[in-house]
Amino acid sequence: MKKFLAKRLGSGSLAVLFSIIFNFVIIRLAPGDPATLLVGKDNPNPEMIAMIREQYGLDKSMFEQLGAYFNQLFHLDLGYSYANSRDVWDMIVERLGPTLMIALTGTLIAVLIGTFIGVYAARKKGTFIDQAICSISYLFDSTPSFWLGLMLILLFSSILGLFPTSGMYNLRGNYTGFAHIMDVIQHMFLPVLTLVLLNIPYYFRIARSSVLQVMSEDFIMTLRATGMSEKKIFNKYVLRNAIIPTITVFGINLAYMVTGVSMIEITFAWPGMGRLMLDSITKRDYPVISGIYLVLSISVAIGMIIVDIVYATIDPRIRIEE
Amino acid sequence: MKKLTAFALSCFMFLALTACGGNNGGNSGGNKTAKDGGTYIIAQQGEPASMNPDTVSDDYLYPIAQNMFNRLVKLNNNYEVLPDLATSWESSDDALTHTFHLNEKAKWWDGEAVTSEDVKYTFDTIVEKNYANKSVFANVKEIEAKDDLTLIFHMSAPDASFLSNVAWYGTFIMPQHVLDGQDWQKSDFNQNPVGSGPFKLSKWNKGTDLRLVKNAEYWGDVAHLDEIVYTVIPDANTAYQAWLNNEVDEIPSALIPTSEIASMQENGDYNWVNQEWPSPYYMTFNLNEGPFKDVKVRKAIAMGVDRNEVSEKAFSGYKPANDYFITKIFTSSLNDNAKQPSYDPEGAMKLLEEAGYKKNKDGYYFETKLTIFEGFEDAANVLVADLEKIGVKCTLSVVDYNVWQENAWKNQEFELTMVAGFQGPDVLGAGRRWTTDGVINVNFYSNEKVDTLYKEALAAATQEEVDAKMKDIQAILAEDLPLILLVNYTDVCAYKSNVQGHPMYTDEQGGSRAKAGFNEMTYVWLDN
Repeated sequence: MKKFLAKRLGSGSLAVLFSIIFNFVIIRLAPGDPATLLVGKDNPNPEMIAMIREQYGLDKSMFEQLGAYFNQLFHLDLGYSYANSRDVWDMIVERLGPTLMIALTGTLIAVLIGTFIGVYAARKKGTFIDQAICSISYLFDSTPSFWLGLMLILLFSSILGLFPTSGMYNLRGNYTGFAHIMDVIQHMFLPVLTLVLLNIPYYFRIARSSVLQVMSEDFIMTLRATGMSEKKIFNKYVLRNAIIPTITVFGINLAYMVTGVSMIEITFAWPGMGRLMLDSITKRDYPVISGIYLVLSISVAIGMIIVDIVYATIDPRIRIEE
Repeated sequence: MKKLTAFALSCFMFLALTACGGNNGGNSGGNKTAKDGGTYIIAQQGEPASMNPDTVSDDYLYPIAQNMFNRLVKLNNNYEVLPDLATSWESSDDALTHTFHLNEKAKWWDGEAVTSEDVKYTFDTIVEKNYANKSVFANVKEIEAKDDLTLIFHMSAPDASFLSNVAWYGTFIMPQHVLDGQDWQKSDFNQNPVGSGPFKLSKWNKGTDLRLVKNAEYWGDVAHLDEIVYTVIPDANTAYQAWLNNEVDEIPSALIPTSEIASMQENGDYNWVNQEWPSPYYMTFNLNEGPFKDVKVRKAIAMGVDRNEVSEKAFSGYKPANDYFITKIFTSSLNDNAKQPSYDPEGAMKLLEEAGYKKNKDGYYFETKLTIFEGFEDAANVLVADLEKIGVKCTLSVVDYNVWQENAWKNQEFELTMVAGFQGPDVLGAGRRWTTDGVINVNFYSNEKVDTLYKEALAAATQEEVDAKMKDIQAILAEDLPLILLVNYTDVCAYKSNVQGHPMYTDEQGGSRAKAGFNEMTYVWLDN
């Protein structure tokens, strides 16, 4: 297990390193100059543009800039945002919480419901219910998040008046303590619902197909031949084997969680990291973009390691293959 | 012996007028008395980058800054210059010296007096550090703080737009006693500012809300509202719904769907203002290569584009067609003999044939491309259809602003493009768009005569002289046709009917145009 962990940590660090370099280069290759954007559309002042470029080292070669960036990281410094005059670390930290709030809540609920429906549909394979659930799942699977979000706003906020349209808390309320928590939960409802509806089909399909696949395997037939009850076969042997792909997908999904919720964050004016990332890309705020990618790649790497450990715990075969 | 320049004169006249208005009408429409208190929530699509409005242009900070800081003088929604820190000002006969007298009561939030040294420090720093609106001071030789309340600008050349530019953008006065010796771009001031304005920053929750509270010790008129909250709602549809649901009190007028305006105007729930800005939407040509090198072809395009159709189809008629080469707002500068060509598709095709083009087998004289960044799609589609009618096959290419800026503007990789934007507080602002070294001269148009006339206009001492030069420039633009102005940007603004004293309201609506800057909320109150 130690060797296994060390190997995973090594490959994880390598992946993080590559992703830093890749993102560093790719964002600088995109058209658009941060200094020009910073100065503004209406009053471009060439002297100021030159000054900003010099001040932030944008006039140096990409290689030198990358060197300076690694030097910074070595000193545990994510850099300084030129567009916001603030430390990148502070900006990311304040946005990470809100993003995790909706991303984790939404994904976990989606995993539970999606898997449950998937397993249910698999057991009812071919029936009307199975087909109905499949069709609905395709419908939500092909719905753009901003559209669904807006429809939910129209329905739940504008027509029914049940939930606020946007934001993280009531701006007139000045609530504290428990009232504040309830207020935030109320504001979380629609973004989380959007995320849940969009993610259910994903986990639904994986659960359904993996249950069907496991059920068609030879050992299940053998178990049936022994006269074991269907209930026991399903709960003890089918489910345990069928759950593994869901865990894999959940791990991979950690990578998309922040980018995946960014449109939802925009629709619901949720102050999360996805929104910060899109803002920073439009402003070509390189240090913030690199900082976010760094945090993302590290968390994905950690997520994958955890998934691997969970795997190895559930399924000893994987450990042996290593 | 000193004489008032045209500008100062018009300002004083204006002040006299508003003083009368104030005596007659009180401070609100319908003889209502202003009520104090309340929280007013304004949604913006983005968040300011810092709390210093002078370092870089920041359209999300500009409205907020007008409530936290003061300028020497300020612009209102009629583009008039109002006193702010300066109570009065005068200019020498040769327009080479401008003297401003500051309000002796003016105080920073921390109780220190605002002096002419603060003003000098601010402007000197803007120039020295190349901050955003350095160009305002291009003709200033020296700024002299004669005594605490007297500030003198010594000009190297007369500058007719100096006063309105000082009153406009990126010229808010900063406290020397707080900022001296600090780098403005890295100062803690950017998070915890000290201003002199009617509202103070109380809390800034990044990504959600920025809260200002009333400055009860304000040296000028104390605000009615207890609190202004600026919140960020990036999505236009969400912002509109949040506004309809009373979660926010005000949204940018551009977010109100034009299709909804007519039905909204039928019920009496809103106060309406039509505000025309000096911000024309225009189309420009690549002058150096491709078909539009030939002025005949440019003229044909100008004749083939139906500006009224653009106004009707793309903007439901809310943004009126513009027939002149400068925005039609500045009426005294318009040259009636140098209007843009009127719509004439037949004539356009004749011109194209004169220019040597023949229709190919598909019925087109030539093919071209209109490259725009997001936001111009509706107008661009009308243009494409118009060009089709005169036998020019035009494809539309919509790109990200950054891509447009790099490829179309910087590298001149375009044939046709579109631009808009606020041109400046007075007619001279348009010069940025068509003088050789104009900072937003998108197609690099260059005509020595235009440059000379524009310099003369800038140096003019009276508005009549400015008008004359601008008319001459329009005559040249009519010959060269470097750009075609399409429509004039007009905001159809709606405010909740309980909102009173808004700086956008007209005098008849009980607005505070006469006393407040563009987005200054001092006189706003809520009638519940």
